[in-house]
Amino acid sequence: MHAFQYHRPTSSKEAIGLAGQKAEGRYLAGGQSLVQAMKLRLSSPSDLIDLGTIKELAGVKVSGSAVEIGAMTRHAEVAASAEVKRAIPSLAAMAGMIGDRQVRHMGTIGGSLANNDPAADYPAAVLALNATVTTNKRKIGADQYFKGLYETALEPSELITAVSFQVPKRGAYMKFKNPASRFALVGVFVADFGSGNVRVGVTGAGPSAFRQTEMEKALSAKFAPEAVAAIKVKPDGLNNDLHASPEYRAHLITVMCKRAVEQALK
Amino acid sequence: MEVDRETGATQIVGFTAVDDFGRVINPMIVEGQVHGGLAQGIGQALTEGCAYDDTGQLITGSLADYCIPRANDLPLFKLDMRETPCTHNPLGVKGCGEAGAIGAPAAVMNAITDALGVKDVPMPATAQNVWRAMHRA
Repeated sequence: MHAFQYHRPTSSKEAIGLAGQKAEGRYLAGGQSLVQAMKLRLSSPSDLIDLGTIKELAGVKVSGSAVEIGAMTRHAEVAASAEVKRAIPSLAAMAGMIGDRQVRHMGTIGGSLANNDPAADYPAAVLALNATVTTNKRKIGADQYFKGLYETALEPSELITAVSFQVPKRGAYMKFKNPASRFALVGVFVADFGSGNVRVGVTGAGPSAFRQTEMEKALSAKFAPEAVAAIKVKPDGLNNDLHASPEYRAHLITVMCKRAVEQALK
Repeated sequence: MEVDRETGATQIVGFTAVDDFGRVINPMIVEGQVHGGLAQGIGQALTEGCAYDDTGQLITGSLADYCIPRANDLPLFKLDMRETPCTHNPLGVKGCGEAGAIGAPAAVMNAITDALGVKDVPMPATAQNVWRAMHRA
């Protein structure tokens, strides 16, 4: 790991100010990806701006049709939150499937979304639950947020402050884990908002999470496992790596989607 | 073994190992050795494999890519022992360090090929490799 300056601001205003001054600086959220990348010298920021003590960035608020989660809320807190479990049980369940216990107690929703790992779990939920990503500058809709491999709509020094999820009628997340890393080899989040509005978010399969519109259409007409069971996803453009071929990932999208619908109907 | 037909994922639902280590003085530590060996052998069969890219770079260089089995990947083992004292040393003992790792890969791979009705599944029998073997059959 290369040397860096460590900062511990106590307000998001102070954090954003620091980030504006340090061109090679990075925000430190949960550190579950960034610190590993630094240890491997794949990333060497000049400054780390630790968001861990900024109270205003953490916590869960439920208001009617939306669940707002502060950017620095840990995965374990979302998984255990009675409010999230009541409003969007599938979201709490998803948070409980991230990584392992240690990762869930350090990793944060804001960190995960800013990093946009192709196999992270939250992006699937953000797309399926039509979430809005709030930053210090603006609100970004789910469909505008993910731009590509580790790329998002965020500008340099722009800070995610909260993520607001729409409450669906029913939903579920199914994840086929990479057995080593426990990242999603393929993860599918299905959300049914009623009156033919179904959204399907897929993670792990492509360079960045995406919506599976063919399945959304089929499920909008009939919200049942058999509506998607015969859909053959094209492997073109899907990830090809040590762990899975594009063909296998394409196949898993269908299986995970079908199982997510089964789970949502339980 | 159980195989998920849709994904190729496997699960070991029962595992029995019987060994002859000659005279056993402390059965508890011997069982511990067997557990470790079984985990090692099951890892070889199901999850562990080194991979290199075209330039010779090891791409399974961390435990996020090289998968060693963890406790929740393994069943509760049923163990038994037969004690035939070794005649070549005064204590009558035999080695047991990696005994579990000897039979386990063959037992696991045979269980998978038996379940699928195929002759060959490449090691490690990851979900993808099992899925491919099913679709070749």
